[in-house]
Amino acid sequence: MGSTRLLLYAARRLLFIVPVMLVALFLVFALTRIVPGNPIDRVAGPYISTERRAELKHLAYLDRPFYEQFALYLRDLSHGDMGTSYTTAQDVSKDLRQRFPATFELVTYAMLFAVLAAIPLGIAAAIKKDSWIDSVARAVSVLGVSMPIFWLGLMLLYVFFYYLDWLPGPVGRTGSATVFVKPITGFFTVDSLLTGNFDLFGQVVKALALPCFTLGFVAMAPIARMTRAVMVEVLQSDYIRTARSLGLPFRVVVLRHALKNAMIPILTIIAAVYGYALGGEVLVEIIFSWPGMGQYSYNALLSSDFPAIQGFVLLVTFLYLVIYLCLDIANAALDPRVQY
Amino acid sequence: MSLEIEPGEVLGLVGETGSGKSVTAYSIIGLLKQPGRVVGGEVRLQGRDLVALAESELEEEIRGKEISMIFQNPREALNPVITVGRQLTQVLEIRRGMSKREARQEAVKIVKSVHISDPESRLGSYPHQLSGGMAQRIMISLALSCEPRLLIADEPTTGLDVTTQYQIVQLLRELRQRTGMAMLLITHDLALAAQICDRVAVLYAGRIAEVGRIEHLFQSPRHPYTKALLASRPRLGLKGDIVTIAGNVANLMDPPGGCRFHPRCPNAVSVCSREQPALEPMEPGQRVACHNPVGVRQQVAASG
Amino acid sequence: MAIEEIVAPGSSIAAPPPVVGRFSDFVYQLRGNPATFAGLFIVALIFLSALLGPVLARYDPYGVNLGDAAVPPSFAHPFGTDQYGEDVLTRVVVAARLDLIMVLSAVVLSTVIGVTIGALAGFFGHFFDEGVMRSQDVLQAFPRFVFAMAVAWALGPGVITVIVATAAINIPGYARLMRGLMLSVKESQFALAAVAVGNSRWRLLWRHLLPNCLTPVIVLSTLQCGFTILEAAGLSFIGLGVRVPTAEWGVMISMGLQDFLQGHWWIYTFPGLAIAVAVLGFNCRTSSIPSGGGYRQCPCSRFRISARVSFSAVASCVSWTA
Ligand code: SF4
Repeated sequence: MGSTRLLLYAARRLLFIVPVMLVALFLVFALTRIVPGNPIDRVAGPYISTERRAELKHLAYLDRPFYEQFALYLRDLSHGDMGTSYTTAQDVSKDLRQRFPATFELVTYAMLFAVLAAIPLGIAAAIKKDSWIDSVARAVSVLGVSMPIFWLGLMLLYVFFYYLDWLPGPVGRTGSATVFVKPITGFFTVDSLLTGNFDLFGQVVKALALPCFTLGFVAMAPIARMTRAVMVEVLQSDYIRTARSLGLPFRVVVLRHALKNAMIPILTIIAAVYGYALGGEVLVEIIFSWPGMGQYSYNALLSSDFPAIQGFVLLVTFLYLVIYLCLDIANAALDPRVQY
Repeated sequence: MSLEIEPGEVLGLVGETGSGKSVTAYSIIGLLKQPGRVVGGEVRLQGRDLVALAESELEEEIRGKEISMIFQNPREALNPVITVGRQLTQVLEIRRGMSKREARQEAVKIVKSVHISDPESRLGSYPHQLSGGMAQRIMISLALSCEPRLLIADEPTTGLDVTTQYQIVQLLRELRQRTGMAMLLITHDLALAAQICDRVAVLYAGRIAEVGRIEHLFQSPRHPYTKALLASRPRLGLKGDIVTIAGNVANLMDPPGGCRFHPRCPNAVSVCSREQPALEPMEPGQRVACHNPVGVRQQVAASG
Repeated sequence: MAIEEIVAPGSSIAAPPPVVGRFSDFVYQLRGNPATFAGLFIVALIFLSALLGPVLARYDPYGVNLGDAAVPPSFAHPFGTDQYGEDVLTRVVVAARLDLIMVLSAVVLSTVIGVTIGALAGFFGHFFDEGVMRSQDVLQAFPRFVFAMAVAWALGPGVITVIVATAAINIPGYARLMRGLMLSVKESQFALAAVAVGNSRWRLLWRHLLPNCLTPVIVLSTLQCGFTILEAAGLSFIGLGVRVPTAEWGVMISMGLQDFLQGHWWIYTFPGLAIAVAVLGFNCRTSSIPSGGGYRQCPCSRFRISARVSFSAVASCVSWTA
């Protein structure tokens, strides 16, 4: 298991990302250009001169055939230019840079919550099959996959914001605090601590609580379910019997022997859920007015903001592929049987 | 069921698949899988009843240290994602309180003692990189790592090719001589038992049919089941078909009444289906549970 | 159990082992499995309200009555009324029909297309296989819901949109599953036997191989029902699917969102409950079969697939969950 081999493998996989992103981009181009109507007409509205309109279309390359648009976009992209958003009139790359941390912070905490809750729950359920904890695990995984995420968010908002008034309403990342946070890392929880603003920190945490829980609860379900299923299977295996026959303490048997084997499928599911959460928390962002990429893409879609849609798809595809890359590397590192 | 093993002795537990050999073995160290449960009886280790012990005591004091096991299909019995060296040192660290360095040295020593060449590099490999025989040697080193007094070997040669089988048998014999530990060999293969065991207990449907010194059993089997087992053994120079035992292995969930072998027994007499025969001493020295043993005066009269 | 009709014909010598269980197996499974039973009950209830909903309803689902707007749950309106005075209970019941139609159409559509693509890819291999699998890779590199959003946006709002968008995101999953199954079944003994007695390639594919891959596919389809309800509702909720004022669960929740700050919780609570219960019903129905190597425990599946395939099947079921 040379680590150089692992690195080479990672590099090879990284190369694979480029063509996939190109194809994804092409698909988006095709999809957006198939739709009838020119976005400039829609964005600009009726009170604008025909000349100005043509000029705008020209600037956005929208007066050219589809393949030329694609080629020009790629050319600009190679200079790091993702185009200008029709709605925010900013560089798309800047828009995304601003919004990405919001999404990333939300998703990261939600996933942390989900993983830290689901794995112990799944393990406990697997060890004590048919006990109360198993029932809890089953309830969590059944509820988590049955509830519409936007509905769960609404219900939580009703209870904790409208009814109890413990937590801030759906007003974004800082809750009721109207301070402008100068982004350092982009994680407001980190930034507020770095600047020593503990008051703000409290607000940020409160604002994070509900969206995080909403997303995390839904993410928990598949992880808990997988953990339990795999642990049950692994605990019955011959090598666990061996470990126990040698008198290793049960804790060691479970955590070091069983979990290490179970981790491989569990990681797979975590990666799947993580990828889902990164792009798919659109609904959570809409409910909680979270100024992240999900909202951005939603608004971009509604207003036919082509450069924004393209930029978003590029970023999300890239993140997705990176997550799966990490997964494969983790698998290769964890499982000596993997050939790479 | 009652069995004794003297220190340094090798006892064989022989029976067909499904006769309860492995169950017996696992129940000794309390590792029966979920559905099974030891209903009664006791397992005594130098006066201590293991069945009465709490799980934590079994774990802490018995498993590995007093009794350890080796299994069939050794490659599956080793954790696939941990190097064999780490599996070994982990046991040494946790169970024998060694430091990392001591454990490492001890591991090399143990592995050498089971004749693994190039121990250093072997310890760095994962189970899937080992041959079956090599994996079984590693398994044996694991089992020996805490110097147990009793080694239970559950079909240790199943799944290995013939030459490797022979080597493993040699190794077990040698270990027994060197360490003086007792050994319980569980197998369906009488020939294998004959190679290592001092005494053999033949098991049928969870009960002992016959137990005694290996040479007694081989030369003059008294129980019809032992005799059938011997006859069904493939051997050199055998003419004609191998004799198989008619009928199916008894269902352990719902064993037949009386002598459990009676539906398949060629010697069965009418008491057999009613009364369970007791284990009784018989010529030339074994103990047999049979109403109508082989080679003894036929009890046709008794059957009326 | 309609599959049996497909399985039964075929040449007698090379006939593959029966795939799908008998009815008695099904009943056997139900006994001692309250979850499945409850699931079945819920699904039956949904079908019933889809069939009879409009007949049973006490109010007109589109009966705007501003005098009775946003009334909390009461005896006359057990689930309250929305901001247009429409009875929420009536709308929840009536919506079952539309939601069920959308979901079933989407599931059938994606199953048929996905299975066809996957079967051909697995059966013919080579270029075709490569092409199909690589494009699936690309599609799967999109988050599911974003993909659905994009498709729905391109098609413009409407019922067909919801069906196509929710079907589209599931096609890769089916194709992948089917391809894996096909690859393993292709090599099996009965496939050889079927060729040996002189079946043509197409006959082999459709009559012998395909039916033997269907059990996991059906498992996946039943699982998909639940998730499709969620996705369809999600699309309508954000206004890319069915639009206000249609009686549809997702739409009704979005109407509730508009009135959120007035505290009219009943407008969105009950449609959401309906969704949750429906999804629960569809998921429980299959809970005895899927996740964690469940095929083994399922007495009706006499069909054994190699461990690898069953793992990939389960994995795709689960990743699908995500
Ligand atoms: S007791 Fe009877 S049935 Fe049992 S082995 Fe002896 S002769 Fe056969």
